[in-house]
Amino acid sequence: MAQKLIIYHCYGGAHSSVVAAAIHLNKLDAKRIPTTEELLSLSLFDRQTKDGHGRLNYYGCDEWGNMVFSVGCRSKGPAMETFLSNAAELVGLSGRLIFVDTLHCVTFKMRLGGYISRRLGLIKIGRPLVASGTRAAFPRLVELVGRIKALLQK
Amino acid sequence: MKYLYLGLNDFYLSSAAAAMHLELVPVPPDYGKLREIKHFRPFCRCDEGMFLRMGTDKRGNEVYLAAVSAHPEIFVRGLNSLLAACGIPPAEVKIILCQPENPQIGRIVSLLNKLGLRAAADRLGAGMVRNRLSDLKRLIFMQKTVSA
Repeated sequence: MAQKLIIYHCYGGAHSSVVAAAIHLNKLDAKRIPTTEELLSLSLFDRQTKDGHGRLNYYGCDEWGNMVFSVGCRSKGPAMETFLSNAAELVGLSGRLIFVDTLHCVTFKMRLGGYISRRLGLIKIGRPLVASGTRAAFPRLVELVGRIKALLQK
Repeated sequence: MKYLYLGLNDFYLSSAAAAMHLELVPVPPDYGKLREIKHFRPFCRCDEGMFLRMGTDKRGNEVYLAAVSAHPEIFVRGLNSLLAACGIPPAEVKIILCQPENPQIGRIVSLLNKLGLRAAADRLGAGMVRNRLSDLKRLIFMQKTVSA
């Protein structure tokens, strides 16, 4: 079977999509809530800026050889899915892209912390808040990634 | 090579540029010729991100249109990074951004269309093409020179 490209996407590509990609690649233990240090050790967690929106960040290959990416699409997630799927058809990658929207797993704390850290640039205030929100959202992200992996296994 | 003319909020500039690229209309095109161009029209939400095929140029390159309602730069980055991730040369798909000088015009076009004033929207679209004609000609010339 051809290698798939799994693209986790959210608004800013700095939190939920990064954590989902890390769970997918077993960089975070899905069986327990990660510590704030573990979250901050992820290279792109709370580090993406608006200049990187749209860029697919490669995270690695999963156990089936599929490539895993995270990306921030602002509010254009569905349009980006259509756009990249159409582009994939042009270059012979038809049917190989799997888009996973992680935005519905995001908690209010993550949104608020992400806004303070990424938009306002107040990292000292926003980062602990977004990390705490991400820990609260972690089980939902694990469930989402579990569904995707089950789909891939089939 | 594939050319993608990417418009913001409408298909007027992008379809006119693609038609000029394909030499389907004289340069400068008059209003009547512009209205005959396939997809010379406003944009609706269901079109967002869709690729519309315009034809094949004399060198055998395929020409497409697409339009988005905001942040065209993230779509450009997305496509370029997808090509890079898959080891496909970036020249395989060339994106040419076709934006009006003032993005608010796109919203006015959309509003006119929603009010049922399609002819007025088309007139405004033709005006946008006239205003950006020299830029569009330069962009098309540059792309054709690169591909040659």
